Amino acid sequence: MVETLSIAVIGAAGAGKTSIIRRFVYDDFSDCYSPTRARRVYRPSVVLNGHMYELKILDVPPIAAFPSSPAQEWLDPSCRGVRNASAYILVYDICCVESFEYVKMIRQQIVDNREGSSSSSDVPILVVGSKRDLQRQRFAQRRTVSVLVKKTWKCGYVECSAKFNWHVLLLFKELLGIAVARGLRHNHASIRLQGALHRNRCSVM
Amino acid sequence: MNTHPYSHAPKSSGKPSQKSGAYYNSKGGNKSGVGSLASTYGSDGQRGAASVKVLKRRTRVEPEQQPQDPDTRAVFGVSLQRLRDTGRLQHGVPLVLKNMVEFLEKYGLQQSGVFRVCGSAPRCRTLRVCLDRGECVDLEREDVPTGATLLKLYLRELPSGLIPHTHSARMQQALMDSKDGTELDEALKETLHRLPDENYNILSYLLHFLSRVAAHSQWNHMTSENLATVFGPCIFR
Repeated sequence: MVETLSIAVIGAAGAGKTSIIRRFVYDDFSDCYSPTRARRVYRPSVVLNGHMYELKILDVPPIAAFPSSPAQEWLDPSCRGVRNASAYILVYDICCVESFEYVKMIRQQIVDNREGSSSSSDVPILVVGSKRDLQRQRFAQRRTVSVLVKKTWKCGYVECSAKFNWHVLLLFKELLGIAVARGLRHNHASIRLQGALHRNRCSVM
Repeated sequence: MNTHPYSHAPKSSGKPSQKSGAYYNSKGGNKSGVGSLASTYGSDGQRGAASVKVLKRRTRVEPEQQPQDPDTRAVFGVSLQRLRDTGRLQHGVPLVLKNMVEFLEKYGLQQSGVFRVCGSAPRCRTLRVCLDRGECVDLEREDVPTGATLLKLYLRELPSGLIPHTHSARMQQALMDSKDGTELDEALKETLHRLPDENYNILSYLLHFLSRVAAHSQWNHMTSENLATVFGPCIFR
């Protein structure tokens, strides 16, 4: 049975979202920076604990705010599908305080937004500090940030380096583990079967 | 395992006729009984379509009355081009559609069988008449099935359908002619891009919303296939 898990990767400009995804999906890395202009979807299939999952990773270009209404989400093509995601990866640059502030804002908006609907309020969020290879220029101790994120925000925290492929796999494994444990167990058997027979994806629009 | 797409509703083992009889005994004198029964029924998400009750009174299906003179304020059955010309599209989406989608987005995502469960027909008719008169309707007072039925009614009433006959015929042709999936996708994409701008825009808005409904299918049991079954006849003409 193949289940689709959609993961939205959000972060400030230049935080390393695309690099992390490309390292995970294609195992490549480029030193020259090219900003992502339009939303891009990657669809790798992964195996975790003997189960196969189809991932739908949304590479979201920097958005001003997390969309709070369906109209808002629909009007900005780069946000589409962001509110449906079953897990979030919030990426910040460990050398850049502003990118951490951005992550803080987006996390708050996700929580506010999801609060109304009881069942989806505990959506897994993983905060990722990227560019671990630039360790010396970091703005705060790893421990300080980690404690803040884990204790106060109740989110997962991982630091990684896409350049040296350090902890990239771990971060996806971690997120998937939480998402699978929280999200998929409620599914009704007949729906799971439907999902196995037809992949839930649109190839036209 | 039962594989029928709609089989997730728990089967009712009681006798429906007996139940509805008891209902009429207790509330026989209530004139607005139909509406209130529908709302109690709708708010109970666990009960599915298998526990349908037959209502005896005021449930005759009558042909919809066609308005004699085309009212300028009418919403149902008005072509999108006309709505556009009278400036009643907001970001290319009819205001009434936007309201219904936002209402359902707020309350309907967790409702089991949303769009499949029928709303109250009399309530729908009243709402439709109100909307056509240009009155402001507070959807918050309605239950989810009624809102969902109203949304489907709106799509069905669009004069040439959201995807008109010419386009759907072309899509069917593509379905038969194409050799593989990618070719089919290309053909379908091309046909959809030929839709009038208003239709394309609304179709995209609607599908975006429905994808959100499908993303909650573990609670509402409406996967994309189930939604397709329900919405197919409303969208294609």
